[in-house]
Amino acid sequence: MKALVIVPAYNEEKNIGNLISSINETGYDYIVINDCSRDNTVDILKQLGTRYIDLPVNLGIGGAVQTGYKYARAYGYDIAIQIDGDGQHDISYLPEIIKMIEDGVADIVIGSRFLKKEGFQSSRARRTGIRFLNWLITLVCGIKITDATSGYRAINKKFIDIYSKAYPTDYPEPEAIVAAAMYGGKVSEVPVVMKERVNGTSSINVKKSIYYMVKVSLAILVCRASAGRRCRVTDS
Amino acid sequence: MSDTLRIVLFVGVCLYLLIVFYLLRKKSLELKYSLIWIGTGIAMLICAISPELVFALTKLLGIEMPVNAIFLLGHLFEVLILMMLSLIASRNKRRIKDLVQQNGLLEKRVRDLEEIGSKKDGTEHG
Repeated sequence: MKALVIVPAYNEEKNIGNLISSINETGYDYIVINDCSRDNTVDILKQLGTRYIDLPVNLGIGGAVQTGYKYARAYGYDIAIQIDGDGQHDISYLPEIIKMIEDGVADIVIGSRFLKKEGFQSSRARRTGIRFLNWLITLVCGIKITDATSGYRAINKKFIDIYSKAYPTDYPEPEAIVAAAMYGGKVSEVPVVMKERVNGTSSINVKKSIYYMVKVSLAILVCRASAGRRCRVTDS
Repeated sequence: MSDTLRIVLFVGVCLYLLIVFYLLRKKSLELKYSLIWIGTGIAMLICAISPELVFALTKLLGIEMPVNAIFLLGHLFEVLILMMLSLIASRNKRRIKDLVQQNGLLEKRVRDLEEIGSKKDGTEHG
């Protein structure tokens, strides 16, 4: 099965070089989506001869990842895996995650840092927020999840097709899980280790976090409401 | 405040919130922009349920009649929302401009490639 690694990147001039080297070693196809970075990310991509898409306007993580899904659909990929451009996702889990999709174990496989609680566990505040979102998602569509905000996820062809047509734009990760449930998608998690961010700054801060929580919770409810009777509970 | 009015207001606000959620469901309304509409709706709901809050706020603002306070606050909200819409329109204008310019540059690149392509054909057949 053809697998594509999608790397959304925004202002990652310090991290992207290392990340691309390690992805190259895995041998998987990949596409970097440069989300109109203000720094020299695109110059580094050019220097390294990376396969990339240069967005003319900043879309945010949702729009950037969806661009990757559209690319995957256009070039007939069967599996698409998101790996964040900041290098926090450990690529050694790629084969395991891809195999689960290949074997049809699940439609969507999410790398959760909280299943085995190894590696970078994020701040307490974030963990509390994530736990709330996990609970809300289970309440709304029955999917049991431990790391709803993890961007480290693989999807199969069915969802490449679905997400390339509609994917949430702001903070898409939790909402995308509910959207998957709407289409009867089976969502599984595997334990992964995430690293702490080495260089650059995260795009989330305290004020944004509150806005994030309100917005994402509301988005999850609206997403569920849009589904009506379509939402089927699937065991993970 | 009469009970009839309170019920009318309550039903009215519920209808308003239903319309907002309907638009969200249909994806006609972007969630990001709907937050302030939903917030306003919840504030109106609170006022309809407990008018005492409105009376207290009226006194606090030094206004005579509660209804005037409501009009004032209502207008302030409208100005806020209009300002927000202006900001959104401005941002969209900037992004469209960037997109148009990139499109123009891309068209030039494609045209250059086409010229190279047709030149190659020319020499092959020439």
